Amino acid sequence: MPNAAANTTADTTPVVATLPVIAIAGNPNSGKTALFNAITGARQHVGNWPGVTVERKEGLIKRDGNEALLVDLPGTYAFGSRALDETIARDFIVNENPDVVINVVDSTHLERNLYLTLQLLEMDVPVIIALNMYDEANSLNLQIDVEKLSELLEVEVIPTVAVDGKGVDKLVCSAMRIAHANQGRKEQLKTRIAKRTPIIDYGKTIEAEIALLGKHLVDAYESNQGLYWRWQAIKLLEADIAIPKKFESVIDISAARGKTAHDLKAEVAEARARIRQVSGAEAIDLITEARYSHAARIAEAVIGQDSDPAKSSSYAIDRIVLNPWLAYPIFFGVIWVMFKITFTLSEPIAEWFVTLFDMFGSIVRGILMGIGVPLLLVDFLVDGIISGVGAVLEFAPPIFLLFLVISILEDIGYMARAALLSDRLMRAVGLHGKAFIPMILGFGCNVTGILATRSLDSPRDRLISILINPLISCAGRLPVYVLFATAFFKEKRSLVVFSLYAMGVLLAALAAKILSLFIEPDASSTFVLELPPYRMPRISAVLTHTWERGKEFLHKAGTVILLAVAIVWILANMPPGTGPGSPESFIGRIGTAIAPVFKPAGFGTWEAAVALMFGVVAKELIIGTLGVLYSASDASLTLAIQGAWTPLSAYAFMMMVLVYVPCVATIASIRRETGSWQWTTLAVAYTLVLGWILAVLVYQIGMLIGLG
Amino acid sequence: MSDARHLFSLDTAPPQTQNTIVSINCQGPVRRRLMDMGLTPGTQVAVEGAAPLGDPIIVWARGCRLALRCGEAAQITVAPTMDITESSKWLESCSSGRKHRHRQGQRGGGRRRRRQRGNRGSM
Repeated sequence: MPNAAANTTADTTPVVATLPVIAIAGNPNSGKTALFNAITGARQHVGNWPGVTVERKEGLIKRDGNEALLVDLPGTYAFGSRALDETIARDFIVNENPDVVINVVDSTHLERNLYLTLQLLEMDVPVIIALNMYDEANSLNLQIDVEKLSELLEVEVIPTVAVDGKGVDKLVCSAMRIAHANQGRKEQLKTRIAKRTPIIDYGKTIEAEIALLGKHLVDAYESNQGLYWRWQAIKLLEADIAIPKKFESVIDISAARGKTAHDLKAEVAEARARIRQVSGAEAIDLITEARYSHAARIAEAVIGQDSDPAKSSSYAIDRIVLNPWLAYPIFFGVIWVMFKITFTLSEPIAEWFVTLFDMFGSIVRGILMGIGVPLLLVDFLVDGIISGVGAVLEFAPPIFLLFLVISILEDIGYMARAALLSDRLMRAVGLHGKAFIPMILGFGCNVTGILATRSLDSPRDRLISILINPLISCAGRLPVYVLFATAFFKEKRSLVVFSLYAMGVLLAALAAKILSLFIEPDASSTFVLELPPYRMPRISAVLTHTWERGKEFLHKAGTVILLAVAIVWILANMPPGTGPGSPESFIGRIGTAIAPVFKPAGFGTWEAAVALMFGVVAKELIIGTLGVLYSASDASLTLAIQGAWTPLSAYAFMMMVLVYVPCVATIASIRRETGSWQWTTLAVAYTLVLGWILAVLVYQIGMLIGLG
Repeated sequence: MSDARHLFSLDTAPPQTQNTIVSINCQGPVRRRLMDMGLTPGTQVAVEGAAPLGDPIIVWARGCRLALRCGEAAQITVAPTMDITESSKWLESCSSGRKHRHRQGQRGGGRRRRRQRGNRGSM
């Protein structure tokens, strides 16, 4: 993946003020991301929108010696203030004045996509339309009159197939031309058309109010600003709750000119009341309807009369995939295959990784010894750092494979069906169908799972999904189960490992249920999901997506874990003179102090305490730490463990590892995504207490019924 | 618009029939969401089926398939569209995936739907 590798190189290009700015806007599922990738290739940078945790992607375009900055706006169905995504997209266009906006339109769903296009045109920014998935429209026998569409919307329309790169060059050239023409001009001169007529006629009642409000706005501006005032007037009538920054300045100006902000707001309220009185409906409803009718009229006008809107094979597939009898067997079958692929295929790759790191370690050792580096430092670098990080990177193959399968399922369109199928089950515990994907991702890495909760619209649904995600057993915990289950349960080991995974899901469901009772219901929680047609997965899209998810894990291995591994090694080998990982070392003393806490759970040894401590840094380190601690006294880790644990205390220990405190990277992402230390503390506290209680319960009940 | 006896909520609408949205009976963000997704009064909507546990349901509106929960669909009042036969034939042929059946009917149905939407004020 050369593209992906280049992404990580920290080209944190600051927004150069002199570059023209091109924004990409469009519906979800319109191929917006594919187009962004097709245009920027490797030259992209992923960050966050200021103040929020919605991803912001930027890229540099270079064409014929010209450069421009490309900004990917969040995919939205509308530009209101209903959801965070919409506010971000709208505010960027209003406040940052991009020199041109590329509007990605899905040709196969013209009517729905034009609803957003019309709103964009109303904002009076320069727009160019990428009529995407043009090939699919053709294969569905939808003949779209591109010229007519361009004529009706009064903007340039270029058919594209983003995934194949078709039409992309032409699109970029046109966009660059418009952007350069507009760059540096004052915003009122950035024009989309010569003829500036309103794109939608809202009917007599509303138009009268728009004109009235518009007059005040134009007064405030002292110039007519193209049709921009019109959009503002419409937005004010729509009662858009969050007012963009620029509106405030207008209200300020009007206050300075003798008309107070209060006056303007009162006038808006009066205007809405008048509309309600005349038409018996809210202004916002009438405006939405008018936009959709207009979108429908345009779609009808440009879709050829010969078009046969026969449906794709998606219907036939859904008859099977959503069949009452087959749906759930297929659903669980897909999940089973996903895990099977993940864990079976990753094993040889992971072994190959281990061999590679061992080889690398001995080569480095040879070189360092050869040039006379002190033995202690060589040990630190080779046994501490290289083998420590190697132990963590072993988990890259299963994690990447899991994410690869999930990305393929998403690209095909199955994940939307999975969200649909799981909604009823998830709702029983107070969750949302869309929370299914973050949960599945959590089996790979909880950090990725938590990041994926961004797709949930309602803050409450999102919060609950974030808080329960650590209970989903990530790949880092699996080796602990495998080691202990193999050491103590032999032929029943698969069952033991499965029981822990099932326990994780069960606890997550229980935690979700309890949290949903305490966190107030959110009126904005809806489940309105577009079912995209099934599509063949595209390799580049799948790989990019996999990489974007997996790199979080690599990032973690390269930073937090690297540091932690160094600290483990130092603590285990200091003060000088003590044997590595002996009870007299610093680590041994800390472990001895904590160990009694775990006595009721049956594993009150200092080694176990230390391993759990470092498991907080990364669950992957538990085995590594035990390895370091026992290899000092014992050759085989399995034998050492069999000596220190009983089957019962081993199960209690695995239970503890499953539930207790999320790793540092997960804690950090909970903090970042919830934006609250209270929730983060709660996540840490409840998992710690729950883990300890469960471990003690397992051990004590086991002892009582004579399993010890 | 339609006889009051023939009004029902979208979640109780018989599958595979064309209906016209009469009103959305909730307020706030849910209303906005439904309308932004194209479920506005006057829109043609057909229930295509339900998820295996009966909820959410899948509807067909404005050339798209949407899944929505019964609780949300219950907030949408619909009335059956007049020429049920044409549209249901069209829908049936769509959902059975047999592209070539009723080809003529499909075309007619498709255009008719659009026309209805265009002059729904007179209905």
